[in-house]
Amino acid sequence: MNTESDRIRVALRWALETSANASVAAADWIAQDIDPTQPSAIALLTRPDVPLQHLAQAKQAYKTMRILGESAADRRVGGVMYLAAIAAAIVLHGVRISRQSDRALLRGLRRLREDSSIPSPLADLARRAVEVLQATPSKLKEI
Amino acid sequence: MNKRAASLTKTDWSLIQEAGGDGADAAAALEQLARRYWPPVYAYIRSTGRDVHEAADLTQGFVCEVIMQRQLFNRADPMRGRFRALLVTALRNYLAQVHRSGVNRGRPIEPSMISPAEIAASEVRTHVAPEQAFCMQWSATLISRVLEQVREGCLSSGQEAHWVVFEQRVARPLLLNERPEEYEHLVKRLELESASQAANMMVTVKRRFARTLIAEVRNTIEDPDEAEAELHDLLRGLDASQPGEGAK
Repeated sequence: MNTESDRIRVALRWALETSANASVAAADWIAQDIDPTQPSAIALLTRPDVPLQHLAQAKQAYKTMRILGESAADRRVGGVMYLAAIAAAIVLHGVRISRQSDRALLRGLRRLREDSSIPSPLADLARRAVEVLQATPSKLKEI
Repeated sequence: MNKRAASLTKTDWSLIQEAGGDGADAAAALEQLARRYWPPVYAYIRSTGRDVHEAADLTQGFVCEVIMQRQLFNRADPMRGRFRALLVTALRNYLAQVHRSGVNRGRPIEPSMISPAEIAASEVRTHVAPEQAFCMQWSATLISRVLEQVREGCLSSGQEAHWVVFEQRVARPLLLNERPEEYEHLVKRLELESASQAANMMVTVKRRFARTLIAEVRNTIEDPDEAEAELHDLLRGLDASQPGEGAK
């Protein structure tokens, strides 16, 4: 953050982001909190070189948002991002960061893949995670 | 609600109406408005090339003559446009009048109104256009006011830990360039369950800040539905101040 006007600009934009979509803004703020260089949750979860540690942090934060979010929309967005973080770890690192059973995980990821209301990069992430899970589930490391 | 909290929740337009009346309440409202708006006025004047002392004198002159004696706020009409624009126009006219007459009729305000420390804290870049300096200081003042409201709201609703997380993770790093406090420390210090809980607390307060900011912006414009347009306008004003930034 270089200048005073940059900093003021960031704070003013929070208001516009909340006006546009409060729940998506909340998910984006969590992503920016984990990695300040990322502009959004989608960017954090789909970037090819995202560290596994960031995905694990994101999964935990979105899991909490899914349960404790202020509104139904928050909880829904939290749920989507939670699954997307798990999918990203599978696709980008070959690692499972969830203790859910294969069956439960596949059910959730397929639901995400078929959800036409979510941004296409996340649906694509879910599709690729389903493919990996179906093809080589035993090769995934677990943390 | 104490007097300070009450003044924080009053809208600009309700303060303006109150300032147009008589008695102690009107005087208090007038002082509240003057205190709220002198920093951008000072920034504007300083950016016209005046030195610190002359800018401070002219700021005092504008506050005394135009805001208090001529009761600028009494003439303000919410139906006639944005309050920010009204203030800039009045200020521009005042400076032109001072320039024509060759006399700065500014007179000292009570020392408590604008202290040297406040002047120093409001020091601005002198090489940006006056309107841009005004916009920047207006926005900074707005953000300070909103932060204070959010802080008081958190403390009065038993969400002190929420505020501390927001302050340490977001507000201080953003506004003071400080390093964010590690979640691990915050969880321990505030006796929270987890970092993910703390992250969601941060989001809760950041959202409250955003909503309070929108509400504050609505207070200064004629049509509450124009809040987003006003925010975009402020952002444009800040963008315009970018090129020359850096030196003081």
